[in-house]
Amino acid sequence: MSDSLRWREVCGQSRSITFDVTNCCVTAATVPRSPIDDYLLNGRDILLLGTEEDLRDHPALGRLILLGVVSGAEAYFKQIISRCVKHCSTCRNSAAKHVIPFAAVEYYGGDDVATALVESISFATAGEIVNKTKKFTGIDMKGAELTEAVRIFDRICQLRHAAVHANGVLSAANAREIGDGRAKRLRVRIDFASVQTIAAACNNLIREYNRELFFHLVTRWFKEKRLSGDWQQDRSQFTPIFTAFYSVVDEVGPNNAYNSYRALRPTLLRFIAS
Amino acid sequence: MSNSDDNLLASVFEERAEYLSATELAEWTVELPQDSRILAKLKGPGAKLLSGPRGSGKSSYLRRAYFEMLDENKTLPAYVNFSRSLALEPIFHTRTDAAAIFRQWVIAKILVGLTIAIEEYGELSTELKRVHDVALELIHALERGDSPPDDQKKWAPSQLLAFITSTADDYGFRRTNLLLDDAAHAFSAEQQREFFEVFRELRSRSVACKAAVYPGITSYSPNFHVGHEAELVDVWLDPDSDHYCELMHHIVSQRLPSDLSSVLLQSPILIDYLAYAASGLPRSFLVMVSSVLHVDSTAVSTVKRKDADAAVSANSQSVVQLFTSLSKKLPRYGHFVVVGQELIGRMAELLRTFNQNRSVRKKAVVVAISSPLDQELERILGLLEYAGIVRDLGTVSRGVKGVFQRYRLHYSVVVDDNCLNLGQSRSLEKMVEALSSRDAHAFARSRGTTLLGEDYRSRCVLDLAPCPSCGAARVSDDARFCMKCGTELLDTSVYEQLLRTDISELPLTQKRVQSIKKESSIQSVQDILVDEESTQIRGVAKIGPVWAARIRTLAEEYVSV
Repeated sequence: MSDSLRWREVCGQSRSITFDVTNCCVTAATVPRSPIDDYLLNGRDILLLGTEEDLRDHPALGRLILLGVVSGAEAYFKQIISRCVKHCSTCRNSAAKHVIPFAAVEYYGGDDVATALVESISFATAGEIVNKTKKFTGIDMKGAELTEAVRIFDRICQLRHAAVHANGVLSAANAREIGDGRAKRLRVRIDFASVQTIAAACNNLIREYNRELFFHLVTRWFKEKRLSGDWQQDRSQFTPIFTAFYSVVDEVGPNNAYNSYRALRPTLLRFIAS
Repeated sequence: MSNSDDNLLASVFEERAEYLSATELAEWTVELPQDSRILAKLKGPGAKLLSGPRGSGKSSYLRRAYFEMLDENKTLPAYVNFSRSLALEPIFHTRTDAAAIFRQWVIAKILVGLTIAIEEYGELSTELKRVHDVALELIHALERGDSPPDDQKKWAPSQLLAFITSTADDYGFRRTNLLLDDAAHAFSAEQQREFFEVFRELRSRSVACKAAVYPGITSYSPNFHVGHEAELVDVWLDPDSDHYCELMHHIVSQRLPSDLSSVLLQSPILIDYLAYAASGLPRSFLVMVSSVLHVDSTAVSTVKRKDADAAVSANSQSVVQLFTSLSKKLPRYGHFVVVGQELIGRMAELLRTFNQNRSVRKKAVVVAISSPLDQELERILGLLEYAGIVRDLGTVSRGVKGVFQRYRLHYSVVVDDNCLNLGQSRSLEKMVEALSSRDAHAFARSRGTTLLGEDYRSRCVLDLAPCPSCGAARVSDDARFCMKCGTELLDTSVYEQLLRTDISELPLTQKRVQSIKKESSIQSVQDILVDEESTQIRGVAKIGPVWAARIRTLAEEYVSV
């Protein structure tokens, strides 16, 4: 290099790289588990990386775990909404006007086309979670517990935004959103206690959302007279939606669709009679 | 005994001031030298934290300040008791918005306290009546464990402040003093944080908050700084203070019916003995007095030394039991409580050795521990202070030997464990002389490791439940997930566990526990609480109105702060 161009040398030079992106991808297995279990089990795997010692020794690790946990939560919202659209005709009506790219139809195939609906949607703010749920399912999620869980998640997402887009430095907007009035520029620093709290807060949100959406969806079926009270007739409609919401990991309440249906049937029959 | 006699006696020996009427409180309260100073702080402006162990008179001061302010008509007082706060603790294990719900409960309690005070001046306006009814309904629902109605108005502390200010203004008051009893919420960190945030936000020129807290275990919110946000006022009466025994004699003559007081006053030295054994806690004194007078069985014509010794011993066991009950209320500190029990024994032993061969007037009841204290020892001593077993007397410098933190051992423990080392024939006179005329500067010096062994810190680890799935130990107090299998670690509700606790955990003698279990269906703390009319407990031999009320109070205290 001539001396006349040495002024350009402000950093090292690049090298030749051959990158085969296919090496980074394998065929995704269709996992026969509910979105909530998918979220909970993936979350466990991620959390185990964040030991007290490692988080103390590697300050960047906390931010990476934060990304993993929030991304898992977003994936849950996408999966559960697409499952609702797939198995509930009222949800399908609500989502009917949403345009999806032709390529997505081809990629996911007819059976999974609902996945394409939410593919490019973000669920990383309180507003987006509530609004997109309303848009695709027609259900207004406004329970007090969920509202509180969403409020906390919204703050976590401000941290995630800083971790993804600014190497951990909070923008003025992020700092304002989380209500930190300190004048100095802030950097995200997530220790063991914070990682654990963030993961627990995300679990709270997902569980609360899962419970509330299932409740609203099934009670709406009551009102729309989509359930007859006869298991043989209702089975094909009820089973997929129960399976979509039921957590084998948490294992609470009736543990299969039939038992759950039996538990709700007296209420359903009273409703039909009224 | 007639019903009215029963009721009178039950009131006389009602050791909790919040259950006494204005008249009873005025007639039975003995004026203490510190009263005017403490009451002035409660009736004046500024935030105050009234600190003292159980039975030290915090509620009594708050209630007296309340009635005095009502009479003086200068400041609007509102008395609020938060002792039921643990009933809301289960929701912290089941609801995301538990902190917000608890905050609404705190605010609702204050609103009810405020409207009750206003009612003392006349009928409530329709609006205030509505506020009172809605708030009361919310309180009952939440204490029952019900969810708050979705359409319930949510008050922010700033709205509460504005409401109090404008309401007080309507009634011609420039300032409202909120007297917040049982406000430590010491057994739920989340509740503590929420409470002190509300406390802090209510501070203003028009509202002064006064809260009763416990020493040693109250931790405040991160934004709350004692000294800056509120002045700490110690109410624990000092048994070394002038006229201490005289005051206790006054309690006997002023509070007890003459037939009972005359029996007791026949033996002034025995009153002195019980007074010192109470260690400055009037409630303990009343319990011991009722015991030596056999108030729930055949009336006695003379008081006996052996009954007094038994009462002191029972009181000693009772304060130690209050301390050990912390392992249920603060399960994570279970190991600290075990080491704490050891510490009580070691301090007693140290004093016994120190006092050997010393003349009666040279005995020590204070242990001075080399400062600075380890964090673990400081925590244990804090827990002991909550129960009143030790009293922090501050530091003392001994030149090259260093600085020492002094702790006085509860006098019931001192007497019961023979710490004064008065030999085989311990006369009441000698014991009273040793406690009243002792050298105020005499103390037994030691170190944490000398008292508890070199390894004591390693034994003071948090008692954290292992993973329910794989059994791996919880890595730290901050861990919410098992770091071996990733399972979420769930804490069980302290309140629900306390309700299920066997009655043998209450500060009652074994004999009484056995008779209750045998002669009634009562087995757990919850069984006592659901026996609202005391029909079950009154069916047990030797349990009359006084003990029935006392056992109920013990059960209530067990599940409260």
